[in-house]
Amino acid sequence: MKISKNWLNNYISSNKSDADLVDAFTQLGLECSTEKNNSIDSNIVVGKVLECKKHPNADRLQVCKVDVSDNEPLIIVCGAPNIKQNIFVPVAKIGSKINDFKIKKTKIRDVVSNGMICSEKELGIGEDHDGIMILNDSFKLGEALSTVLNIKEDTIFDFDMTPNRGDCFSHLGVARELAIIENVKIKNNISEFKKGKFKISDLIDVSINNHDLCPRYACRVIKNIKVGESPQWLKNKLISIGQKSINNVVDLANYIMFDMGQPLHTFDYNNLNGKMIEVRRAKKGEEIICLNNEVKKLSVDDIIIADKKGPVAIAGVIGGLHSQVKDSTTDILLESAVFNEINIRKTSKKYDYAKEASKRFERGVDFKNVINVMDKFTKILLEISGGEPSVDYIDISTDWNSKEILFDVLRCNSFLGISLKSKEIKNIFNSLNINCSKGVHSFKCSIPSYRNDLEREVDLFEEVARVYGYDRIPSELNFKFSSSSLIDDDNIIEDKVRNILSNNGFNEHYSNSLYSMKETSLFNNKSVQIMNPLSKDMEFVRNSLIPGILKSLCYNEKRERDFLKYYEIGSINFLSKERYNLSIENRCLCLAYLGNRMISWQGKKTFNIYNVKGDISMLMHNLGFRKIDYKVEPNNSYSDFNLSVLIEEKKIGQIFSLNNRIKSEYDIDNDVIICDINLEKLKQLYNDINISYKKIITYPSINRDIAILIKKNVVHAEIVKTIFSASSSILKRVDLFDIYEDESLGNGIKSMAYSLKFQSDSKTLTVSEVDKEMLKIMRQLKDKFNASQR
Amino acid sequence: MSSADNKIKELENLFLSDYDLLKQNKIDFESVYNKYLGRKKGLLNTLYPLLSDLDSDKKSEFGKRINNFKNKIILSFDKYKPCNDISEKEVDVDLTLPESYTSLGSIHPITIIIDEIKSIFSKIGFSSVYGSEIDSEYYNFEALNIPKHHPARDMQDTFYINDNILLRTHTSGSQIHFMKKNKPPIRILSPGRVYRNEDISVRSYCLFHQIEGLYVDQNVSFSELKGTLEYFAKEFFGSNVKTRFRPSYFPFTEPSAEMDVYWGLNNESDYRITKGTGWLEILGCGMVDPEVFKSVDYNSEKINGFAFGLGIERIAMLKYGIDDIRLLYEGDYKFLRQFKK
Repeated sequence: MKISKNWLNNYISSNKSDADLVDAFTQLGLECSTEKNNSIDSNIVVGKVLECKKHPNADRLQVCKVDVSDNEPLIIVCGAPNIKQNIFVPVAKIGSKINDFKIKKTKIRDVVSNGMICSEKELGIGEDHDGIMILNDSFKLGEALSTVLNIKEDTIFDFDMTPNRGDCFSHLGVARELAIIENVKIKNNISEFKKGKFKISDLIDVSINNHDLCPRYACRVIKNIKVGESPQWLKNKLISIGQKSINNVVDLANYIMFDMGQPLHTFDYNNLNGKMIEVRRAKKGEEIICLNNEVKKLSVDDIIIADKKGPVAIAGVIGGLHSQVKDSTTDILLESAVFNEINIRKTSKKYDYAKEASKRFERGVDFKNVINVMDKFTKILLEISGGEPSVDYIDISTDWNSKEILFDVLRCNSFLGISLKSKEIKNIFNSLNINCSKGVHSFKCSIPSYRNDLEREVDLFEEVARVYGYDRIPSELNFKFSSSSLIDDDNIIEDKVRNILSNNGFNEHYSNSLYSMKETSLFNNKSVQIMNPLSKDMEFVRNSLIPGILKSLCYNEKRERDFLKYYEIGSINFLSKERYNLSIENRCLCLAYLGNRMISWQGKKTFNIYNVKGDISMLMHNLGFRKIDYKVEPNNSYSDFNLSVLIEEKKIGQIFSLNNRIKSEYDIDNDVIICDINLEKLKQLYNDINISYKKIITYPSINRDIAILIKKNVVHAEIVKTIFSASSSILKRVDLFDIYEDESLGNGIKSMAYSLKFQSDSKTLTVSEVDKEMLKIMRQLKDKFNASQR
Repeated sequence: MSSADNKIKELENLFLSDYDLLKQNKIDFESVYNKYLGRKKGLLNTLYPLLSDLDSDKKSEFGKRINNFKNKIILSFDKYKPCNDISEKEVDVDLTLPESYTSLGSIHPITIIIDEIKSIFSKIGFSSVYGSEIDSEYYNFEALNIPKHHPARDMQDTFYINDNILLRTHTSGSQIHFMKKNKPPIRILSPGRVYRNEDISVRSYCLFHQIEGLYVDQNVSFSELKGTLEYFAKEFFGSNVKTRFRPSYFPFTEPSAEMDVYWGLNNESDYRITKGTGWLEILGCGMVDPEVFKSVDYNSEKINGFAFGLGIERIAMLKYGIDDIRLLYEGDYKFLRQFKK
C-alpha cells in the first residue's frame, strides 16, 4: 500500500530521513520500502505551442515552436499525436531532469530539439502516456510546473501490510504508528461545516435486516452539489499514491478512504426508488448491474443495499450502475458503514473484486470512526462542489463495548524474557492509545476501537515487544537438554541412500511432482487429481517418480548427453480401495540410466543390465542388507525386460528397460534402464538388520574350476541353484568366470565355467572329499539338464 | 687357452682401461659406449662369430661369458649415462594419461541445505520428523488458527484435492500432527515439500521445500527463540553474521517475527534482493499461539514454545547464487554436477 510522506504531515511531521523512517516502520512491524521520490524539476515549465510543422524527415514527428516566456521561443521536436497549435503544455528545458534522465540538446533526424514536451507518465504524475499532457490555459507561461500544479517534493512509501493490521490501511493508521516512533500524539482535527435546513428522515428511510451483517450504518443526504473535475490538490493526492482521478465526488470518497481507512459509498439520491434503503442478504436469484456494467447473480451470502425495487449495491464490494453518481447528479446519499468481515470476504472472493474498499472491510474498519469520516467528507465536498447537507444524519448502530484485556506484568516479562517495570509498560500502552486501569502488577487494558486485532493478553505481549523493540530483547541459548525429546529419524535410510549413490556416480534430481493425466496413466495405479490446477499439464499429484525422471533424461539427451545415472527420492500418492477417497503416500527411490556407451581412451565399454544389478547390489550391501536376489518377471506394457529386486525374499522394487513405445512418448532415443524401489518396504527391512560376527574359518579351502556344456535355455540362476542343492555344506561359493558359445559345441549348447570353493568349518578337507562333491554335482547337472563336463 | 678366450680377455682389459679414462672424464660417454656396444662396429660384436668355432659344451660357457661381460659394461656405464632424456628412462608407463572413465555423482542443492540445517539443529537436540504432502484443511489451516474466510489465507494460494483435502501449503501442519501424538518437551524439525498455486517463473514455482521447527516446553521465552535462531544463523552463515528480528504476522504464532541477516550492498543484485536495505529475510518465527495449543489439547497456561519455518529454495539460491528457481527442477546435468556435499 502506498503512503505519501506529505500526506502524513496532515497528522504528524517527522524530521527523520526516508531511510530512517523505513527502518523504524520495519522495526515496528510495518514492512516498507521507499518507492520513489516524487518531485518535478523546477526547469520543467508551462509553455504554449505557437506553431506546429511536420518534420521534414519523419512522418510522425512535428517541429514545434514553443513559447516558454524566454527571449526566443524554443524549437522542440515532438512525436505525440495530440500536439497542436495553441495548447499549453509542460516543457522540460535543456538541463532539467526527469527521473534520472537529463534533458540535453539533441538532433532528431537533422532537426535540433531544445527540450521535451512531456506526458503525465513521464512527469510521474499520472498514468497517461498516449500523448502529451495538456495544461489549463490560464497558467502563466514560463512558470515552473510544480508551482502551478502545486506539487511538492514528496516521498512515497510502499507498505507490505500484514493481514492483521487492518487499522494501518490508511494514512491515519500509519500516522498513528509514526506517532509511536516519534513519541508524540497525532493531531485530531474536527470537521465543521454549515448544515442545511432539511432533515434526513424526510428524505430516506433506512432499515437493517440483520445487525450481524451490518453492525453500523450511517448516511447523510447532500443536495445541490456540482459534479465535475476534481481540484488540482485532490488530483495530486490521488496521483501521488497511484490512483486515477474520476470526478470530484468519487475522488473525494477515495481520498477519504486512503486518508482514514473507512470506505464510503455515494448514491445518486434521485435514482433511489421509494425513498428507502434496506441492508439485507440478497435473495436467491436476485441480480444487479454493477458499476462496471457486469450483471451479477447474487446469492444469500451477499450483503446488499437495496431500494424499493431491488439491489442498488453489493455492500462494501461494488456499487450498482443505476444509482451511480454521474455528471448530472445533484443530490447524493453518502453511506458510511461497518459490514460483516466474513461476508464481505466471501463475496469479494467470489466475484473477484478484491478492491480497495472490500480489502478494508475484510480486515475490519474502525467502528467508532464512522461518523467522523462522514463529516470530513461532507466538509470537503462543500468546499469543492458546494451543496447543502442534511441537518442530521441516520446512524443505526449496535452497542459498542470497548474491549478490556487483563494484563500481568510478570507474565509478560517472563514470556518475552525481559524485565520491564510496570511504568515502562504503561508508557508503551499509552503510546498505543491503550488505556490502563490502576494497578502495578496487573491491570486492565482497554483497547482503542480501531485495533480489531487485539483480543488476548498474548496479543498485548506482542505490542509490548514491538514497541520496546525486538532487537532489544536479549538472546538466550542455555535451555535445558531433554533426552525425552530425542526421537529416531525415520528417514535416516534416505540420507544413507543419497550418500552411497552420489558417491558412486549418480546425480540426484528433484522433479516437479505435478503431472499431466497422460504421465500418471503410464505407470502405476490411480492418481490424485487437483481441483484447481495451474494447468492441464499439472493436474495430478505424481503416482510414480519415473515420468519426472524421464523428463529430465529427455531434457539432457536433447543437450547432447548420452550417458547419465540419475536418481530421485520423493513421495508419491495414489488412491486406494482400502482408504475410500483417501490417498496413500509412499516414499520412493527411482534410479535411471540413460544410454549404454561409456567411452574412454581405453576403449568403449558397454553399459548393461549387469552393471545395474551391480549398482543395486552395491547399494543394498552398503545399507547393510545381505540377501539380495533378482527374479525374472514377465514383460509388461512398458518394459523390454523386467526383474524384481528381492531382499530377504521380499520384493522391494523392480528393474526394467524401457520399451520403445514409452521411450517415444518421452522423446528419448537412447536405452533407458529404470530401477524403482519402494522405500517404505525397504525401511521396514532396514529396521530388522542385525549384523552379528561370524567366526572366521581358519581351515584351508580347495578351489575347483568346472566348465559344463549345457543347453542355452538353462539360466545361470538355475545352474547355481542346482549346484548348491547337489552339494553338502562344504561348498561355500560358486562364481561364474566364463561363458562360451560356439557352433562347435553343438546345436543350442553353451559352455558355462564356474569356480567352486569348498571349505569345512571343522577340519582340513581332503582332495577325495572334494572329488566326491564334484561327482555329485556333475551327476545332478547331468540328470537335471543333461549337462556334461567340457 | 683358445683364441676366443684370449680375445675376450683382451677386450676385458681394454675396457678396464677405457673405463678408468671415463671415470676421470677424459673421454666422453658416447664414444666409449659406441666403441663396445655400438650396433654395427661395437667391439662386443666381434666376439659372437667366435662362438661358431667352439664345441657345443664350450659354446654355452663362452656365450655366458660374453653376456656377463656385456652386463658388466652396461652396469658400469649406467652411472655415466647422461640424464637429460627422461622419456628414455620411463617409457613403459605414461602416468599422464587421463583417468579411466568415472561418472561423478552429485547431491541436489536442496538436499545439501536441508542436511546442513538438520545437522545444525541436531546439535541442540532437535530431531527430524516428516509429514505427508497431501493433508487435510484442518491440519494445514484450521488447527493453525487460520479459519476459513480469514484474510491470512490470501497469503497462501492452495491446491485443493477436494473441499477438505489439499496439498499442504507449508510444513507448519507437522506441528499439529506431532503435538497430537506427543507430549512436551518437544524439539523437532520437519523438512518437506510444499505446494502453492502460483505461476511458474524465474522467482516462483508451484512447489518448494520448507523446514519447520518447533520447541515446546515449560517457561519458554521469546529470548530463547532469538537465541536459538541466532545460533542457527551463526552456524549457517558464519560467526560474523549480523541478524535482526522484526515484528511480522503469522496466524499460528503470537508474537510473530521475521529474522533478517545482513547481506550487504556490494552490487546491483544485492540492491535488488534486499530492496536496497542490505537486509535479507531468512525465516519466519514466533511464539506458538495459544489457539494452536488449544487445537492439540495442551494447556497454554502451563506450556509454551516457539516455532519457525524457512524456505530451502530461497536459501539455496542465496548460498549458491542461483538466479532462476526453475533450474532446481529441470535436472540439467550441467547444473546438478556442480553440487557436492
